[in-house]
Amino acid sequence: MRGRLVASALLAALLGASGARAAEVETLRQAGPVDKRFNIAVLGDGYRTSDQTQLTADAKAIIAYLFSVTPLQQYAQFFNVKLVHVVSNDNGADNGTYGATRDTALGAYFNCDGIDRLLCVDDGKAAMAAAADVPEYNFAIVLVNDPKYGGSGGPVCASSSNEQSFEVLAHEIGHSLAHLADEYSSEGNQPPCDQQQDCQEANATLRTARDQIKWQDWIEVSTPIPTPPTPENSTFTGLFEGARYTPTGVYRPQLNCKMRDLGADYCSVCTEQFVKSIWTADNIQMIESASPAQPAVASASCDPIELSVTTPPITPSTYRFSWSVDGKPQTETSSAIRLLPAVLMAGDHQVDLAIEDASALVRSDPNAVMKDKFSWSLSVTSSDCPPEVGQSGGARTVSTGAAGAGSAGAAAVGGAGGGVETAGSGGAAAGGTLASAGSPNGAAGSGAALSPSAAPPPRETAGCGCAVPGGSVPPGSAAFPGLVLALTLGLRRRGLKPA
Amino acid sequence: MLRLSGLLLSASVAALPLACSGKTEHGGASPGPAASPIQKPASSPSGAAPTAAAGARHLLMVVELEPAAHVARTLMSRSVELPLPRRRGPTRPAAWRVDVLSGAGALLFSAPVEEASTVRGEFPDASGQLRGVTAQKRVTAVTLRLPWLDGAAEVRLVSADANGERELGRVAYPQVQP
Repeated sequence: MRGRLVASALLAALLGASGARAAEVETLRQAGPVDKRFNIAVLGDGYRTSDQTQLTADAKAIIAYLFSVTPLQQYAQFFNVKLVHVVSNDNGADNGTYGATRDTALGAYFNCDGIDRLLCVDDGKAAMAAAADVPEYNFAIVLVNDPKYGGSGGPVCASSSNEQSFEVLAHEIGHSLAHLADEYSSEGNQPPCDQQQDCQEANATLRTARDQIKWQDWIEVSTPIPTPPTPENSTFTGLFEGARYTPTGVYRPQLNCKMRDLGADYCSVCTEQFVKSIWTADNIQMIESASPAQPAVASASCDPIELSVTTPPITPSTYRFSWSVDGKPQTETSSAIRLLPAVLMAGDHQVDLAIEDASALVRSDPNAVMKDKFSWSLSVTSSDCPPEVGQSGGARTVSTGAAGAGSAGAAAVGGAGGGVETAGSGGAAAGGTLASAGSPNGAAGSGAALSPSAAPPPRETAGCGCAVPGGSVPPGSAAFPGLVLALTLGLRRRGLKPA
Repeated sequence: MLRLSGLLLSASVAALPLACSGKTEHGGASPGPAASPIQKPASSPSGAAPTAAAGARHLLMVVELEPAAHVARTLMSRSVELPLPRRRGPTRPAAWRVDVLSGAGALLFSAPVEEASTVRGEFPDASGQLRGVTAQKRVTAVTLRLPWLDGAAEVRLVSADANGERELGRVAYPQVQP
């Protein structure tokens, strides 16, 4: 473990003035750069110096559990996880297994607000510990070294080291990350749903007319509405009465769900919402980088022009890549395409890429968060390029399907295919705005009619925007600021230059 | 590069509790195509127009709030060498909001903040039936991610609901170091 620990001595010195102490940080999951992943900080409390190895084991266990749950399993590569080795003087938590008063770094205590199993921490200390040692963190989990069953959700999620508490944590993450409603009918403390606007959460509704149910895409025509809570109806989606602390008048999608029963899976509707929440989580971008990064590219040589994007990995991949050149759909279905100047011919060309996460876990995407796009404007100046004879990988060498196509190695693609019109994508500042800044920011991709011939039935879409939570970006900022650097090298290597 | 500030107590206004921002704010709720994240586009501030001091870094603050006592204080502030987290999709409304104000009181920046004083728990009862519990914490803390802004003087936390807005408290905006 030692070898994987990163000492933060400098940080400790710098933070000393504000009272925060740096701790050792262990990377449990490094899926990608911190500015392109959702970053979880796991903090230990009630772990003494001698318990730090146990902290690692406990943290790995809880993270392994969380990422075994659908859909976190499929989207695990969207998350980084770091463990902060906060050292306490005592083990356990107040009112826990080891006594009523324990001296722990983050002040964990059971019997929070008089509720025996409710496990709370000092939010300020937890936030400072995370901010000091994992400043990129987007979400914090405090793991408390006490075998007593308990946990909580709120500004930070807390779980005891009791394995059954992991289920509480998974449930709480359903609230925190996916903004799901509780589906149980028993007591709770939540304002009732608005009769006019319906419940805010994706998994609760007041509506009983089939065409008004927000998860209607998941309900088979033959399913009765409302759906009787019988065992034979336990495996599919319907409209089950009882949710959000109310036994009547509020409905949930399935008979069982993790938001109702600890130990159950997330139901289809909650899973769908979770996936969409992952796609709108801090730092997550569908197009992480593009090559070339700049949308305007000039080619003065006869070298093939290679265009590509990178996306965060989904396991297994459910991406669909649809390319078009000058409005003509291409056969290429990967994240990269290779264009021959000889085929393109001299002149200006438009290359559009539409990306979709076509996961079967999502059936309705009204905000188009499962889609994105990127466009390049190519200026080809060479007019005497010979066709590449014997070019390998014909599928990656495409033509425009326009006049002059048909060079050796080029796969001309006909232009048939129903166009899927997508709304324009615009960058925007989620969560905040600069008073003087006009938003949204312009995004690279603009609306274009694409024709993904092999695309699945289009989801209901409206539009998609890139956003900046917590504050808007300054005016004029690039929608994909990280992309600009990446491509100069590739351009130069290929004899290309940004136009 | 790292910025630190000691405890910055609100000078005048009553402070109240607040929640975390820049952490787990998600889209999906509001319909409509283009994300329109702006909670409350401030009217053009009078006087010197604020500008982001640096796009590749941002201010991270941990602010402690004591709702009943109307006290807010900065526990920690530092600069993070990363741009503000970006997010796709529409902005999800939140119960609280953070505003950055100039010395003249002009609104320079605004962002939603999740309510942070409520703690939830769900535990099965003796029959295995899940039961929910909630507690209101007397003292809570919010994590704020804010842009570095020239001319910023205060950070104000506001609760906004159907009954209107209520200021929860304010702390000093840390001074930007070169």
